[in-house]
Amino acid sequence: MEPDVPAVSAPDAVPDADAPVLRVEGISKRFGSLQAVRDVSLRVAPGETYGLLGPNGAGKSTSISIISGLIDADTGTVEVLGQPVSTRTTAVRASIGLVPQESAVYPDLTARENLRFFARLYDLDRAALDHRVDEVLDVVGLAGRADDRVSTYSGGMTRRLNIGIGLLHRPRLLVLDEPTVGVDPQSRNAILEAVERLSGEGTAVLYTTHYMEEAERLCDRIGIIDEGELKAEGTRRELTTRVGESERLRITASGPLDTAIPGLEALAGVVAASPVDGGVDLLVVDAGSVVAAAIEVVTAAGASVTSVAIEQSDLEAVFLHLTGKALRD
Amino acid sequence: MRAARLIAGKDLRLLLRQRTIWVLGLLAPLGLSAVLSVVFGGGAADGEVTFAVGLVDEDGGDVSAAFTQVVSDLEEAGLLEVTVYDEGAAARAAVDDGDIAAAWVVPAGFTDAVRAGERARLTVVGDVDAGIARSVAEAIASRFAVQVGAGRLAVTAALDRDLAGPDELAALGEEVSRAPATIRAVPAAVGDRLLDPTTSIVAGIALFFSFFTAGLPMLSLLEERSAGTLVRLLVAPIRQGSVLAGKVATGLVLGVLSLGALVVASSVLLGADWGPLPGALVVCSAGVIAVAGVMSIAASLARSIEQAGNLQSIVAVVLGVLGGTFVPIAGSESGLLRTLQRCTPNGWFLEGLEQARANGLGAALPAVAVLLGIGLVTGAIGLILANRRLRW
Repeated sequence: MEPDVPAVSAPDAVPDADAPVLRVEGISKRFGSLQAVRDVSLRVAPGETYGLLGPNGAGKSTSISIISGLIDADTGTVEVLGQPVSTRTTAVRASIGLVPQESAVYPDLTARENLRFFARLYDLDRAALDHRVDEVLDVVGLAGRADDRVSTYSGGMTRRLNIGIGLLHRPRLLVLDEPTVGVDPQSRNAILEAVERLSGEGTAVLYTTHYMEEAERLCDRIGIIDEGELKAEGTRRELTTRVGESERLRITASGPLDTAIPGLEALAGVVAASPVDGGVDLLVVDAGSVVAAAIEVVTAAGASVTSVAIEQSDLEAVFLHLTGKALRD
Repeated sequence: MRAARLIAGKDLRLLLRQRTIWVLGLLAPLGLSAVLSVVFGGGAADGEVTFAVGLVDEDGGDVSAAFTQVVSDLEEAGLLEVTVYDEGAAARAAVDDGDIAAAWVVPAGFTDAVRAGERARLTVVGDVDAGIARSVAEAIASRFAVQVGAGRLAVTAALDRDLAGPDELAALGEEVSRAPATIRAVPAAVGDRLLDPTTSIVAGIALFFSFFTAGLPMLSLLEERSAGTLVRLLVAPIRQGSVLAGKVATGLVLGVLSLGALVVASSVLLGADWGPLPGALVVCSAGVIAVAGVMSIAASLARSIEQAGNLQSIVAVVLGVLGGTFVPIAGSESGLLRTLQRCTPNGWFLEGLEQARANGLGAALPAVAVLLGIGLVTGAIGLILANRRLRW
C-alpha cells in the first residue's frame, strides 16, 4: 500500500500573497468526438470569486473536474498555489475544496459523522477537529440537526452539508459546481451568504452557475463559457460594456417561435435573437424602434404574444451577444 | 494505510447500519443451514440420523416378525430409536404427544393375509410436523411391502409345494432386513465427508453467503460513484489506491466477522462441530480472501449496481452448486463432480475444514494455500479492473 501523503498546511504553502491561487493555462479535454473543453485559461486571486457562467453542457463541470484533479486535461496545465494539479498529485488537493453538483454525502451517517469522516480524511488536527466540525455546522446552519441522519434532511439541508464538507479543511481554493440547483430560496440564500463570507475571509472561489443573478451577486469576475470555450471574461461592467448601449428585449409568447427567429434576426437593429423557454430573447440597439416589428414577426409566425419586457444590458445580454443564444437554452 | 483504515471504518459503520448485512451475514445462512441440516442431516449434530419411532405388532405372526426384525436391525444401525407399543391407540397417542415422530402398526391377521395372497395393510402413523421422519417410516414400510410382495409369491409357491416352513420364513426376514440399506442413502449423501452433515451444510452455506457479504464493499464502490461521494474521495489528498484498499479491507473484515459469527452460532444452535477453533478460523479467513477476490472481479466488470448484484449472485450460485454447497458431493476422489468441486473456492474451503477438523491445521494447509492463491490472483485482477472504474 502506498503511504498517504500528509496534507499541506495551506497558509504556509502560499509563496506569494499576490500570486493567483488558481492558474489554469490552455486546458482542453475531448471525450470521443465531443470537445468538452477547448483551450480554457483563467486565474483566481486570493479572496476573489470567479464565476464560470454558461448553460448546461457548456464545459463548466469538465473544467472543474480538471481543476480539482479528478480528471486530467489532454493539454494545458492547472496550478493551485503554484503546485501542479493532476490525477496523480495528492498533496496539493489539501488546498482545494470541491463542492460537487450532486449532494455528495453519506445519507446513513449523521451530518457530524460525515464531517468528521472527511475532516480525518483531510488529516485535520485531531485536537481541533471537533471544534472545526462544530464551526462548519454553524456556518451551514445545521448545528441543530447535527446528530440526525442525513437521510432525514430536506434537499436544501443536504446541499448545505455538501458545501460544509467542501470548506471543512479551510481550502485556499473553493470550487463550487452549481451548488444551488434545485435548492429552496432559503437554503439558496444561506449558500450564497456562506460563499460571500468565505470570499471575504480570503478564500479564492471558483463558482459555476447558469443563474445570471448568482453570478452578478457573487462574482468579482465572470468567465462566459459555451461549447467548451471561454468566450470572454471580466468584471460585470467590463462584460456589459462589450454589448455597448444594447438592450435586451424579451418577448413572451406561446406557439411556434422557432420559425420566427430568422425573421427577427433580419430586422434592422437586432444584434441577436434566441428562443428561450416560453418566448424569445433579442439583443437590440434600440428596443423602442424594434419592438413593434418584432411583435409583428412573432405573430406572423403563428405565435401569440403575451408580454414584452425591455431590460438594460446584463449578463444575459452579454451571453446572447457572445454566443447568439440565450443563457437558459 | 491511514486513509484506507478511515474508509474501511466508514464503510463498516454504514454497512452495519443496514439490515442487509445482518440478513446476508448471519440470519439467512443460519436459517438456511438449519433447514438444510434437517433435510440432509436429519437434524442430528453427530452425523447419525436417528428417528424416534414406534412399533405395534398386533399380528404376532411370522411375517410381522420379519418386519420387526427389519426395524430392529435399523435400530441397531442407529437410524431408529424404537419404542414397542401393545396397541395402535397407544402408538397414536405417543405420536400425538410428540414422543415419537411415527409408528408402524402391523394389524392382526397381517401374516395370514400375506400367506393367503390377500390384501394386507401395514399402517404408518405419522406426526404431520415430522415430515422427514414420517417419510422415512413410510419408505421403510414400502420397501418391506415390495420385499414381502416378492417373498409372498415365493412363499405361496413354497406353500404350493408344501415347503413353507420356518426356514423359508427366516430367509424372508433376512432378505427384507437387508432392504433398508438403501434408505441409508440419505445420510450417505454427506457420509463421505470428514465433517458431520450439519457442519458440512453450515460451512457450505456460510461460505455461499460470504460471497455476498464480502462482495458488498465492492458494490458500494459503484454506489459511491452514483451517489457522488466517490468524487469526494478521489479529490481528497489521499492515494487512489487507498480507496480500493479500504473497500477490500471492509470486505475481508465483514466476511471474517460473518463466518466467525456463524461458526459460533451454528455450534451453539445447531450443534455443528468445526473442530479446533484455530484451524477453522484459518480456513475461514482463507475462504473469505478467496471469495472477496472472486467477487471483486464480478463487481468490477459491471457497469451498474444492479448489474454487479446480478453478476455476483450468478457467480455465487454457480460456484455454490459446483462446490457442493447445496447438494453435497460424495463419491470417488476422481469423479467429475469432485473435479469440478476442486475448481471452486467452495470445494477447497470444505476440504480445508474437513482436514483441519480430522487431521489438524497442518493437513489443511494445502487447501488454505489454494484458497489464498485464488484470492490473490482473482483479487489482483479485480483490483486492476476496479482501478479503471475509479477513472472519471
